[in-house]
Amino acid sequence: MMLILGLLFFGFFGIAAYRSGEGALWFRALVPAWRFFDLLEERPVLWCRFSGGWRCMDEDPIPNPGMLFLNPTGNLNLHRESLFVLYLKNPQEPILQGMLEDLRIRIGAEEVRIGFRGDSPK
Amino acid sequence: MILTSIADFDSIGAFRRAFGFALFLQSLEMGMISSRDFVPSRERFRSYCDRVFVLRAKGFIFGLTGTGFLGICILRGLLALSLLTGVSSPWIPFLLILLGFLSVFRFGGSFNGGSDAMTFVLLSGLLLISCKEGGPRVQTVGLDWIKGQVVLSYFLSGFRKFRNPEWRNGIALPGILRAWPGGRRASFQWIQNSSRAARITSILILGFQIGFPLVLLGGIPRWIFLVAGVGFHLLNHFIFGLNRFFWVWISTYFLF
Repeated sequence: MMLILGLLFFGFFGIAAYRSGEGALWFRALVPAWRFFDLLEERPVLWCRFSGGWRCMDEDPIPNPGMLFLNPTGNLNLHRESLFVLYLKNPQEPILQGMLEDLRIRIGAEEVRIGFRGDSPK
Repeated sequence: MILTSIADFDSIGAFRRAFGFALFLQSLEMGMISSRDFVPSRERFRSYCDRVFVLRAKGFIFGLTGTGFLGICILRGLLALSLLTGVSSPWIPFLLILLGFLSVFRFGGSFNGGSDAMTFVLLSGLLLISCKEGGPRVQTVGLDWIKGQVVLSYFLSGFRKFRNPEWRNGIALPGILRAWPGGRRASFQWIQNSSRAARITSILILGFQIGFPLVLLGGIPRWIFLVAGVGFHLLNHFIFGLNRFFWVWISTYFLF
């Protein structure tokens, strides 16, 4: 029964992934790559344009021992960063474009761009 | 079969509970951020789902946004609690895999990179371990799968670093610390200030990661690498905030 349910579930999502053309993005998360910090790369950050000009959104929570158990903001930032990395590699990916636009609306910025620290957009 | 003997089965209960604790913490974190600004808005999510005819159902869209997703986090947390209390039904890892996959769909990929991948590895292994109908052979395959992936996670990561000359000569570590914002890197200023310290620390990290397969020998090497592993993950947490990695990886140490 578990096998049938599993096949139905993943078959459903398999068809959805195939139809949307975004299957690679979804399934990439399930395949272990075991690649951590092997290359010295600059971390992308979000630049937001408000009425006062461009601002780099790279704040990280101040560390404390409790964060070993719960670190929602830190993990949120890590997730955002991984989206930024994906975005820099696939700027045409619709779901990433959509998420960036949502982020812009929720932050209340006039414009957002993915870039690097110390590399302020003009 | 290669990595495990049936006599190891006592450690499975400890692994199940520790992994349940890790999953419970993950679920709490996800619940806390379920309404924060990194997720697609319901409108965006609907337009995204509209392109995939099978996903248009209103209930599905509701389930993965806002309050609905909070419900998924609560369900995930309850399933994790049942693992924590020692329930060994195969339905628990099975349902957790399905819920995990819904999260992948919602976040447009993984939420937390390597720790999510390892969570899927552990859940799939736990599913095999919990299938008592399959007999000891299936359970052993599940254990070998988990242990093999944990060993590979350290070894491959270390081997890839070793191939990079910047890691071998100690340039990479200070560079990575510089790239990380916030107060954490200030505590490790000594690595950035001294090229010798950076090189020695880099060699220690490479040695630990590449040498981790020695844990399979058992005895003293096992204890050395497991204790070093706890220190390694604690350090990663204090520098990079990788708390999920700590709990997920440490939970597997009971199996070695």
